[in-house]
Amino acid sequence: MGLRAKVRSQGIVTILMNTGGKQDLVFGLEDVSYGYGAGDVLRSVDLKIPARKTILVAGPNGSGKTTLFKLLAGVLTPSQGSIRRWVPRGETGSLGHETYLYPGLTVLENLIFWCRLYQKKSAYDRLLEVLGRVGLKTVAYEPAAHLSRGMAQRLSLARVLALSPQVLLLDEPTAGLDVQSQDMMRKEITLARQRGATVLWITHSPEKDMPRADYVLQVGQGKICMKSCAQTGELPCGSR
Amino acid sequence: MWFQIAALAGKDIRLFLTRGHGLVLALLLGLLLIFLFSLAASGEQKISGAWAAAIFWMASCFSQVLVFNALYALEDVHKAREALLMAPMPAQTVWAGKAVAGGVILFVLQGVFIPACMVFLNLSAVHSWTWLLGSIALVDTGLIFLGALLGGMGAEQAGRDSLFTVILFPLFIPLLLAGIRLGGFVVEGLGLENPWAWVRLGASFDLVFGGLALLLFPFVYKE
Repeated sequence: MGLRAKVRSQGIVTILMNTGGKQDLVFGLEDVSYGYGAGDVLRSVDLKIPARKTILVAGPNGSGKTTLFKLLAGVLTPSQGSIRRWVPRGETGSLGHETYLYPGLTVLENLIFWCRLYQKKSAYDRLLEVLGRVGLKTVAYEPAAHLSRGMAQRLSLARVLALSPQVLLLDEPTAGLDVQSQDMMRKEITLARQRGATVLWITHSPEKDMPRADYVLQVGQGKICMKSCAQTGELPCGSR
Repeated sequence: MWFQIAALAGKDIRLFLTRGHGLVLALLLGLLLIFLFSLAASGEQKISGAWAAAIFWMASCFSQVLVFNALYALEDVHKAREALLMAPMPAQTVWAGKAVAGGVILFVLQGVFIPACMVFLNLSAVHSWTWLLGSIALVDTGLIFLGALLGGMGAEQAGRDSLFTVILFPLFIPLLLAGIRLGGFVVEGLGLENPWAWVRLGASFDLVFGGLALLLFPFVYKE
């Protein structure tokens, strides 16, 4: 394993390792703090996110889960500490409360734009296949403004799938979806896990999602604790 | 990076032009200003070239405020701004994409303002089309450099139209002076001893504020 390049940008260090395509970690947080206004939501957090694992992120509302994701995605800069990343920025896909869509573009045009921005392949056939996986192929040429909330969320998932990143940051991806769409979302998460992606997944139903996970991140009172699913007790992890 | 700039600019131009109302507002505002000032000067036998240029550049400035506010508002609807910040590119790429899109749209608007000025302000001829296009390109470059920077600063801010105008217009003064003097020379073909001095002023403005925009944009366009 050799150090190939080290890039520092606004408190985030990206380390590109010559590991022959594999690395053990994707993110490392060192003494990271972040707050809004008076108090810190996250305080002096030290954390290492292992590669190729599925990690559930759980905690009460306002505990800092979404803030953690935004720090990992590079949207926010930590007020203290540093974040090391072992994956390039373009290999992180985020699916959250906002769909990041342009209503004035068609469904397909939205995907084409994001693929071009991330310098991924934007061939029509490939993107139509991705839309087919999320059940939106029939509306590929409709303006995104015509989509319902659930369909927009599925299009947001299609955006992430089209980018095919090494790391998925999923912030309550099943929120607002019908049962069929929730099952489709969980299936895609399982497929991502099978292809070796690292999945960080905020969920408010950990009992239901724990069988698909390797670790649980408990976020609360400014701190983060990671346990393997075997240590949390109740449900077995990794079983399908 | 160039490919990403092109993707951003193409997306913005498409959304701005197909949505329609942003373009119409900017166009109407500029034409209204030209028309109102033509009424003010209706008693005059002949409007000086510098005055005509001043009216043209004032219409362009006010229109470009609307243009850049609309361009950045495109990212607010579904918080696409967050996704842009996550994308594998420096923040300056967003600035460059907005500047290119704003420049193209402004050029389209000015394509309507020029004949409007000739008609409403009773201008008979243009002394040199080369100088006209060159001076427009020179001044437009500075307008879009600053417009893209301050549009990003005002993104998701209440009252950004007012903020934009208050901060931006005083900064434009040297550039607009160059545009007005060169515009007068273009219309009348005389009375300007050394137009190249004004070209140098405009080019210096563009270089300085282009560099500042590249340095400052990552700090103004973030969560």
